[in-house]
Amino acid sequence: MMMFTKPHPAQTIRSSDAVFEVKDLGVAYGRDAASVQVVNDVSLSVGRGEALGVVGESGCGKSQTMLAALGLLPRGGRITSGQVLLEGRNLVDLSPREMRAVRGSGIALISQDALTSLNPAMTIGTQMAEPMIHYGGMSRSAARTRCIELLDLVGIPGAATRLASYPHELSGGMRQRALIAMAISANPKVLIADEPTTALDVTTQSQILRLIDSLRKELGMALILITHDLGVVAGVADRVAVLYAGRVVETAETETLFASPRHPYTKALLDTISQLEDEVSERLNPIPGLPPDPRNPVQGCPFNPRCDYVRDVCRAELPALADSVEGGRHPVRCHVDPFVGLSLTMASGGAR
Amino acid sequence: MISFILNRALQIIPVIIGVTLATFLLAQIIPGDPADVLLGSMASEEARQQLRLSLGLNEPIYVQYAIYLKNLLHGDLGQSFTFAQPVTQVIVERLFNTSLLAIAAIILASVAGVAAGTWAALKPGSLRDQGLSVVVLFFNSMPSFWLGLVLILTFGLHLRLLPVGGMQGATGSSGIGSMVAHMVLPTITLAAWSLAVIARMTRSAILDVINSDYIRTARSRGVGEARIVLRHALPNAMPSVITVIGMQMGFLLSGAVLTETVFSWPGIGLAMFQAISTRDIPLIQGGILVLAVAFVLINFAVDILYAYFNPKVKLA
Ligand SMILES: Nc1ncnc2c1ncn2[C@@H]1O[C@H](COP(=O)(O)OP(=O)(O)OP(=O)(O)O)[C@@H](O)[C@H]1O
Ligand code: SF4
Ligand SMILES: [Mg+2]
Repeated sequence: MMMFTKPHPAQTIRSSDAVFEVKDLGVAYGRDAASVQVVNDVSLSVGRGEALGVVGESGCGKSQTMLAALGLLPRGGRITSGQVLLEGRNLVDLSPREMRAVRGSGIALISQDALTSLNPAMTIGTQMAEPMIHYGGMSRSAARTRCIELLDLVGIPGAATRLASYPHELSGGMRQRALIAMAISANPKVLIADEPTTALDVTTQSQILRLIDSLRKELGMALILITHDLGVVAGVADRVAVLYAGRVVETAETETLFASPRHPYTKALLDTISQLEDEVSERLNPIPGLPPDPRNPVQGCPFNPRCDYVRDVCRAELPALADSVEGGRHPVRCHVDPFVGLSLTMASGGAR
Repeated sequence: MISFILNRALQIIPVIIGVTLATFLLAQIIPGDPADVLLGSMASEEARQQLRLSLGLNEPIYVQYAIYLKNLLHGDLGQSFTFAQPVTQVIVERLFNTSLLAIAAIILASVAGVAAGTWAALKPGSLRDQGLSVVVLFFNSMPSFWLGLVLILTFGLHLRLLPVGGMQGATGSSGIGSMVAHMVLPTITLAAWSLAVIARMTRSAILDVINSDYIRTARSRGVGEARIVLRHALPNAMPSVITVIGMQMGFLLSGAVLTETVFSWPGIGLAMFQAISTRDIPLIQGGILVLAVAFVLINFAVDILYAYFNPKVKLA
């Protein structure tokens, strides 16, 4: 697991500085009685040059939130509520044509599996250059120069010759780099990296993470780093939002979250890192029990079947995302808030 | 790619040997004296003797097969008694006509089928998509000779727009216009079934790949829907489409027999039909051999195209 030290202090981002904001977003599949709500009033924001980690177990709605923001929900999926703001402009109301212009240059996406995310029937160069030539008005030779520059930037050796390669001719790490190069090719303001390292071996994972982090700083992009692994966000993210069952359950600056988590789910996730720190097998599901199936939502707090601190109220009412203790800087969605006041002991025992 | 082609070419050889064995045995398993079978019942005793000698019919069967192969290599497929010509000559003259019809039909079926399937896949579930499904079902559920007859009745006899049968060479007195006019109805008849199958396959192959991660990548970079379908989905759907087109080319060869008969198109199919009704065994043998070899070669070409559109196959 990678837990390299964060190189610079976190800045607090006020909402007005946000370059990208998701407000009260809801996503559902199907209609009427068959409707399944997979994302529920999720709010996130990220400032210029800031890195936000979005963490949660598989199926908690991380990818659905980001696909909704990009207007790329698969067939059957729809946004049921909320706004997606890029520099204050609401993307939810845009026409398909306007939304297309936002993709790539406004918001860019790096997906999890580079092998399936690159077109197997096109060379790296052709797919890289396609939006530049056909939507960016570049000449073929200018696009080629730009592609070589980008491949150099992401550390692919022999960039000029690699343009003619097909994706299956590259190694996993090189493919991920090529995918990153494609994502940043139109100078996006926000880069969404959806589990960019899960398909890679441990050494390559940390190289790719460092690359994404350094590109963010170099190019001044905001970064949203999605992962199921808190260890991954530790070295990169300034702030972290923890998702559970399609809802944000806790948000805080990374150091605060690691030192004094307030939600029992966050605490459980942190405990899994300290247990697994030296192990390679990270695909375990160390929190007992499974997250709820969105087709079959849990009454009250969705975490209650797995929570050690559960009380009667947890089974009856959904807690609100609120912060009465730290003046709004560390909101948590829990009736009990069991660790408040324990932060000092937590800091020494929880995360290092 | 070169070694891939050579490798596939080598695999063809045993298949072709198998085909020659099958056509050779055809004359053997038909009851009666092979000399009678090969010459027809009208032949003179003298001719029969001569044939027995030249084909080694008194020799053991493997010697006969060797003679058959040797004659084949010299382009000698025997004598057709129906046409009173060497079989090779009958076939060569008609092969061009059949190829003309089959190529026109496969081009029509492929171009129109891929276009229709792609057009439907651009808006799945839309009215035009459902309309296409109905047309596909219609084309696939009616026999081609029936479609041929309907076309003849409508466009030939009723509207009198197009000729109803026969063929006209481009060099004939009436020129290329007449040649095309004679081709329209048989080509449509022969293509209809395949066109429907290709359209359906193209549509479903595109929809299969449209949810792929790489399509999402392209969309996330601002690529528009038309380019998504034409430049990303269609090329990745092509291997399945080409396989189906290849299968349809084989199917067209057998479809040509019926279509040529309905439209009196002077191709191998019509000749085979006549050969079968008169039990002209040498011509049947030759026709089957040529059709089977054509079938094998078409599949060979399809494999190469498949590899071309699917770079990963080349490595295997
Ligand atoms: N096309 C779909 N139709 C119906 N439900 C879907 C669809 N896609 C995703 N879901 C549901 O949405 C929920 C959230 O999925 P999502 O992909 O956002 O999870 P995730 O947090 O990204 O998980 P992972 O870590 O596995 O990527 C899941 O329960 C999933 O079953
Ligand atoms: S609300 Fe109750 S069940 Fe939910 S996390 Fe808090 S203590 Fe646990
Ligand atoms: Mg996901």
